[in-house]
Amino acid sequence: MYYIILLIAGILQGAMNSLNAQLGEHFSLFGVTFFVHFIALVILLFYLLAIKKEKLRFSGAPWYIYLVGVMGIGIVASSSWVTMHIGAGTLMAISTLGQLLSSEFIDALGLFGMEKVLPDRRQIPGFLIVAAGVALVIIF
Amino acid sequence: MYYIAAFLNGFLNTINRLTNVEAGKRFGTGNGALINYIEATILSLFLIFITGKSGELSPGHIVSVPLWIYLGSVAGLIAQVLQITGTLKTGALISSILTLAGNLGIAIVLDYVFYGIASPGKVAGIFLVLLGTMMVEKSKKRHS
Repeated sequence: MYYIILLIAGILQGAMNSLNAQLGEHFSLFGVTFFVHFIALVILLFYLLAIKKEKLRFSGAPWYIYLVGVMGIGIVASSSWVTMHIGAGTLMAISTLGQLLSSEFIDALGLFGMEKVLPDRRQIPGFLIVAAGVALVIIF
Repeated sequence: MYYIAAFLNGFLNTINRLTNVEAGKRFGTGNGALINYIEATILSLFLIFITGKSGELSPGHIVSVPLWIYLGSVAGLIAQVLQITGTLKTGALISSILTLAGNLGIAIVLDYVFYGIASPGKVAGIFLVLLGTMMVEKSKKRHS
């Protein structure tokens, strides 16, 4: 049951990228980032204030926490722009490689409060297969 | 250029995920997510005006866009809730593989529907990305 839930979560994430790219056919990139975040903001605010009756608080975190909005704009804008030009499949394939490499980089340096974990050579075949997959997606 | 942007998108996704987790720990999941949406909404609005695109916020233009196209963020929110629910019950490894499988699978389908992009080579490539990610994550888990 939970496996299906996770598959659906992935499907919805993919659908989100494609729908946001469609939004890009009607609005500028910042128009897309505005609507994507504004609609989610309204829904989440309603949920937190009206249903969960939660108190809003945002102070006292390290400075980099407050960069999430800037990163959110970067992610939505780049996803929509890239999907519009080369498709969601290619975006996802290349972005997955970027995520894997950045995770290794962050783990190796112990950034963002993560425990330092050096890369393991047993991961190399996996990385090569991902790279081959990305090459196929780009070529075809 | 698009390929570099897609690659950087992956980097941003990783950093954003870690930052969101930290925000969630400090303020609770809901408040943590809210910071992202408040900041991004205000900043986007500011950027729309700076780039001289304020005309696209006119009610006439907003209404002229089909309603279903606005549903991307709703899909994203539901996905976030489902992913948290599923991850708590199955663990990070299975969660990341299954969501990636769903994500890549629907990307192939929607690329065909919206842009007519589809080829056996692309599908094979997506399959290899999934397989390779599974291997990397598995060896990472063994290593740690």
